[in-house]
Amino acid sequence: MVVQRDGTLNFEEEAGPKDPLGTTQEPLNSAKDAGDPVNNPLTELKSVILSLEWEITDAVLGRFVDEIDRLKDAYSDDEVVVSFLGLLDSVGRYIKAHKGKAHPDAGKLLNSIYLSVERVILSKDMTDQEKRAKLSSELERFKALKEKIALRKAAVERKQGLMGPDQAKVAARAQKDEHGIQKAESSPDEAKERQLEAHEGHVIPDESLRLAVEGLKQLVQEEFKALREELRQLRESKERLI
Amino acid sequence: MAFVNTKNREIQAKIVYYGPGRGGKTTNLEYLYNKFKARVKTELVTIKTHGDRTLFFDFFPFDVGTINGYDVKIQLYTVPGQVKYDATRRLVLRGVDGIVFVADSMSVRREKNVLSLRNLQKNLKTFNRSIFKVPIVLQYNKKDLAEQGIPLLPLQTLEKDLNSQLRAPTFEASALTGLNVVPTMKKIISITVASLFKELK
Amino acid sequence: MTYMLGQQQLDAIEEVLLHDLFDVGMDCIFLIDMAGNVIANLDNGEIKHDIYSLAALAAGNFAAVSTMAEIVGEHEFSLLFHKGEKESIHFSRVASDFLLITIFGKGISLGFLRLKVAEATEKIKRILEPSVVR
Repeated sequence: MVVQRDGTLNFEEEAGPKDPLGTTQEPLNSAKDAGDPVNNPLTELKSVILSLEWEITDAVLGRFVDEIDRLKDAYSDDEVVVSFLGLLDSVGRYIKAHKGKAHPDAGKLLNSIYLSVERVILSKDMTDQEKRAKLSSELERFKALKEKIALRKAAVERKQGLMGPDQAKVAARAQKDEHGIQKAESSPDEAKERQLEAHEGHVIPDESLRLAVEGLKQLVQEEFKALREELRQLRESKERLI
Repeated sequence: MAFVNTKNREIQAKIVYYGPGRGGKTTNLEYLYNKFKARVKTELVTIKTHGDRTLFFDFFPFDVGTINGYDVKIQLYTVPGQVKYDATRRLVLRGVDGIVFVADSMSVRREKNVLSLRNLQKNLKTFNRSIFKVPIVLQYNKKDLAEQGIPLLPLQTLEKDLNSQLRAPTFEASALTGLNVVPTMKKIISITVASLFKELK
Repeated sequence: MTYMLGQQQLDAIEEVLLHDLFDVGMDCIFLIDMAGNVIANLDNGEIKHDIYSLAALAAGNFAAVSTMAEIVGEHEFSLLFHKGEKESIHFSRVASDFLLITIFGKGISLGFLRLKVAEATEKIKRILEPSVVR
């Protein structure tokens, strides 16, 4: 990483083989106006995300959350951008809550979502449909990470002997339900979305975007609910040990 | 700082070849490496200048074999001898368990030998170590130059300059031809390991 | 100057290296002392690095950088890290006499690695505490 004389950061990430999340690690400064603070309203956010590459601290994560809030206000009229920012917010808060215990793929997802939203904001000729397609694919990656986290948690609990293998499966399924992923997939609206996708060749209409946003809101709510439940269980198990 | 691994029953110890610049420290190690290459599974590590002077250190690990039920692995290092590399010499000396002081037998190097030995004493002190307490062997190198008519310091002089207080084992040697290179190494390994076992009792 | 580590301590150290670092995706981890002795090491089986040479060089490198820090008036530098095209290497001091070295690929961010290493370092420090014999 090199600090340029004008104070901006120049970060190089080499492209590597496809990872499970399908994230292509492009250089974070690949967008045309990315280095120009006047034309790139995401300069501060980019700087914070680059800082997180080097050091994950409460101070940097605090700056991250503040910047996301600021951008949400600035782009309150743009549903797609706000959804992207919501995803970033969710992943950022997850990393903040878990720090070293966070899933290693969370950082990669953060970079991937950032690159997508930067493209969406800075691109002059991206169509609405293309923007929603990008959002949808980031949402899929987000869901994939949540599943990984749930499976990892179940594996850890199984290891610690808090539950047997069958209970672990049930818990993993229950967690999926709690996080709204299974529910979203089994809802009639979601099925409609799939039909539309099949007919229109992966073009995402307004209705599906609305559903995606709703699904995201639900996910965030479910996550907080799951966290509270986890805390309660932890407290109970501590009492039992005593 | 020797490390005793009671799980693997292994002892790792560090021996450093010290001495004035161009005295033959690296030549010692190169000779040993070439002689024992078959037993050493790794390459000889050397960090040199373009002029082939040691810049940081030379290194290779040497498996001595089993002593008292422990696998003894010796890490052999040299230091850069030039005066300007004192800071580097100090950090290579860190954690040393045994030292071979390679003195240059050439008459013109008499003063450099003494200065280098004093430098060793000073650098050991920075780690709160005494030169009198660390296992040490003296090697009076370049004996082969006598054949070429180059004036060499007599043994008496070298002993008086360098060994009057230390009373360390000494070897007259020629790192280039291999004379007494292996015996020097064997001696320092044996007194180092003996000292370690004594400490562990 | 010798120190000893018992089976329990070494097992405990390997546990930390395995669960806190290796299972998270590091390629090669080794714990050494400042003299360059290798105390513990784990790798992913594909790696065939010369650990003993790496240890000697790592100890020398760290010592050289620490000395530079003192010269410029710093107590120590908080980050010693070398970035490669495919593999990178990170150094972390553990107590005053040991070094934890991690080699990792592009799948792990440095920020995340530093968090994991900081946690592991604390645990290893506690395991090593009773050991040094002088």
